[in-house]
Amino acid sequence: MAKSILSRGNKYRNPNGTFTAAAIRARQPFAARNAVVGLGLLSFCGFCYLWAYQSFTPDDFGDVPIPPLDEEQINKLKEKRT
Amino acid sequence: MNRVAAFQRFQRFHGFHRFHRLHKSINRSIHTSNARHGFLREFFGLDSAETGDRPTEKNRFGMMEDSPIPEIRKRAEFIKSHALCPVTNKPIRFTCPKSGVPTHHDEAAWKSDKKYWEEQKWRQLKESNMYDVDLRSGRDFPELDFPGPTMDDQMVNLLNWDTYFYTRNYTSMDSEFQLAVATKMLTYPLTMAAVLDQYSPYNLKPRGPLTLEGLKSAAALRYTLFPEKKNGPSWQADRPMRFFIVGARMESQLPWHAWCQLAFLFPKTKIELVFIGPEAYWDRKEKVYKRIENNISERVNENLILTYYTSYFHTLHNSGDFMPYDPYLDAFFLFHPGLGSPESKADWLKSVPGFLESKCPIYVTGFHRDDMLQDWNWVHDNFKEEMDILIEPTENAFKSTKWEFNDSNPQEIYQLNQQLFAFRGKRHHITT
Repeated sequence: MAKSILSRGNKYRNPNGTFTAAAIRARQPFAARNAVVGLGLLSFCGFCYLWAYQSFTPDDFGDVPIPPLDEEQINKLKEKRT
Repeated sequence: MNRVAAFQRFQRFHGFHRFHRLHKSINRSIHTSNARHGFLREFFGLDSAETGDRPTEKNRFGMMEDSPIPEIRKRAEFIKSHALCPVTNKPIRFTCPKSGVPTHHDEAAWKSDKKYWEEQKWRQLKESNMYDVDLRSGRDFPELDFPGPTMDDQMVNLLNWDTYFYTRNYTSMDSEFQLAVATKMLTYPLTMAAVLDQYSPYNLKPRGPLTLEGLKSAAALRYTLFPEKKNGPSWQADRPMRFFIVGARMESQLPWHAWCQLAFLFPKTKIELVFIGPEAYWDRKEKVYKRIENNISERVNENLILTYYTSYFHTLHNSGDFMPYDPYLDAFFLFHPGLGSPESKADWLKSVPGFLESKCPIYVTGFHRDDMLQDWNWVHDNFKEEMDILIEPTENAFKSTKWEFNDSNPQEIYQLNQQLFAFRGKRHHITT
């Protein structure tokens, strides 16, 4: 029978990769606390990502006043570009 | 019930010599199945792990008297000829169809036995019956394939049997049949380890049974067991720690590799296990208990020595064989000693003052609640003024999960090391 990658060399996995009954029993006393800690960490990380995303979305600079330029200056700048 | 005779019968039927044979016959062949399974079924984990001769209720349960195994048929006959029905007080003739064990005189008595039904004793009797069949079934016993030394970075969790087996990487014990085989053998070393370990499952009062005095004693032993220096020697180099197992019977039959599991949990300390009592030395070749003139010492490995004395503890104590005692190095373990039982009371009355005088902790286990309370009350009646309580009566976290019953009274159901308590000689503080 083909063995799952997870079960190779691991006594506490069934050949199909799932946990055996003994592994589930051994983890049971810690399961609830671990789930709470895991969810806490996950939600903290998720919050960080969301906050970063929303704070770095392109800003609108439409209200920033730009000093007016005359024709000569514009032509000079254009020459530099080309 | 005559405790001594009952125990001798128990040993003939349940003794650890059976385990010696089992362990040799372990077939390490890896399970090979030619069956082809669908990829999807396998991917979603729909196939259960099927092995050839997996013990289940179906293939292990049967009436004791119709069992194909002669030993079990003989045992059923013994029950019928020696035990009395608890309801009618007549000889037992009727086999409970729910448990397969002969329990009552006739069907009417079986139906009317209120205690039997209220406490659901038939469940435990049934389990006991099935476990005994399983041990004699001749299947492979991978659960007796014990792991080697603990690695430096390996943490062992001693909360209960499951976490211990998991963190020590034993074979995965999925059914209670497998647990029964392994825990019966390891209950003695692990009961000791659980009280001694720094992450013991017994919490300080009020969260657990451990008293402040108990923590003091345990802390002294842990100071030696877990030296502060990482790789250096412990503070004591002149002699190993001694754990006295007084009144040893089944314990002395236990094979070396079971005691090694105790030493593996304390890799930095040298340990000497001292077995004391008339049945302390089990001759492994002749399979009998032997009386020996002097002590015999067996060195198992660098860290573990087993020593046997077949005299009573009080004679050795009075001649000063074990002097000096040191509460940082020594502890006493009494595995179901029957301190208060009528047959052995008189001998214990001579030995217990020696334990108390040493000021070392004394850990006592019992077969069941009543057995332990008998000892507990006896100790209180006789030595109340001279002792401190270390652990109040509690259920042992590392009891054997295999149920057993008494042949001369099948309704007396018990487990090895099911209950635990501890005491110690009182220390008098000098006040000015």
